[in-house]
Amino acid sequence: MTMDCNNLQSFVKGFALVRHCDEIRNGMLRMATSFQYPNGSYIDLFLGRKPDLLSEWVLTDLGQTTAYLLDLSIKPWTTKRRKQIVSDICQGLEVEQDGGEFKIVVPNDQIVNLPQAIVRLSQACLRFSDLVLTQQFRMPTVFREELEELVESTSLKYETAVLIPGQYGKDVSMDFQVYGRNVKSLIQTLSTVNSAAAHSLSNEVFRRWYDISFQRPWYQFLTVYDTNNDIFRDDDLARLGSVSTVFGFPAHQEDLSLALAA
Amino acid sequence: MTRQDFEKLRDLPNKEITSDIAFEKKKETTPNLVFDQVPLDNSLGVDIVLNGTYKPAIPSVTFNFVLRGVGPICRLCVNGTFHKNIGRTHKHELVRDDDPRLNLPIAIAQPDLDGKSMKEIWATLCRQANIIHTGKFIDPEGAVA
Repeated sequence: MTMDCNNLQSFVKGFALVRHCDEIRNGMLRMATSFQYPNGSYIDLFLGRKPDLLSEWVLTDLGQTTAYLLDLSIKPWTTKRRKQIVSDICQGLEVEQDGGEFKIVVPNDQIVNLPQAIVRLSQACLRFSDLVLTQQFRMPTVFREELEELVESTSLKYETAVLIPGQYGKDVSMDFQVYGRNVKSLIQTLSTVNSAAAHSLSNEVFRRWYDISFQRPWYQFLTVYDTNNDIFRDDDLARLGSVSTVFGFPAHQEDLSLALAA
Repeated sequence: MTRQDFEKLRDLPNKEITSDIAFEKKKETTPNLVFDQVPLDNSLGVDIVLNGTYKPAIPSVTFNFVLRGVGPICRLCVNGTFHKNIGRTHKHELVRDDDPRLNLPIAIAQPDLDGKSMKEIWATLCRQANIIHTGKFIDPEGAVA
């Protein structure tokens, strides 16, 4: 059989965008589209009248894509980078974000364009769900770069990869030294994607602080751990808290900025 | 985590959740309510937390067990998205080592939970997973268990 543009169209024109439809409790129509999240679940979209404007329809994912990401412990609102990705996708596909929900408003007189809106919103949901890729390939070096961006934004003088003399005859490597108004800060970062490594990495950072503990009168010791994934044990962070001040980044970046500027 | 490790944890008796389960409204997750980081105590010392999402407009609920630092290892979805050809109510489980990274692509149907109240769903989950819940389950539909 040969394939040309005419018989290609006859093949694809019968393809359904919506595999299944039912009505949910709030009266909206729920459509299981033909698009799938990366784990194989079909993307649902919901169609209903805008409550305040009966002349408009709203097509929404009702927050299901955000819920998909939360299942992977990814909070799309936590970092500047993620918010930028979400904003770029929304802008490119003309999709609105409202809290955890993504939607497209369709005026009554344009409801014939619903199929195009379904494709656009499904495409957006699929691309949001790919935020998981930025999480999984996020390396400790990227974390340090993001932290450096924060340090740089404070306009304080700083150095990277600083060596501080330790009490057992060996220099101890620190990720950053930052010169605040009255206090100099030493920073050790904690970031990994491997839970088994998280514990040993925490122990190594503890050892480094211990080795330079006699320097504490002259420095502020700051441990900054990656809050993009919930990987560090509470007891490890508590132990580090006994030899340094512990900050989560980017979750508590404002507190960290204030501490650096001290 | 391997399938064998998962089964050992799943079948382990007397796992315990001492915290309350309370779905909360957050502006970043509206219109849905969520909870997260509820520890699952277990004698193997495996670092597991539970999170959940309740979608009142549908209604639909998800309970998701996460091995911290690795990803989800088990998830119960009731009236959620269609998964492949097994319907909207199902349980995802870790089968292959890299399933957490792929957000648990393998699931089995659990139609017995369709139409059940949130409280009944939670009680069934605890019973089937050998979990003792000593905190309160705050029913997102209104009642407090």
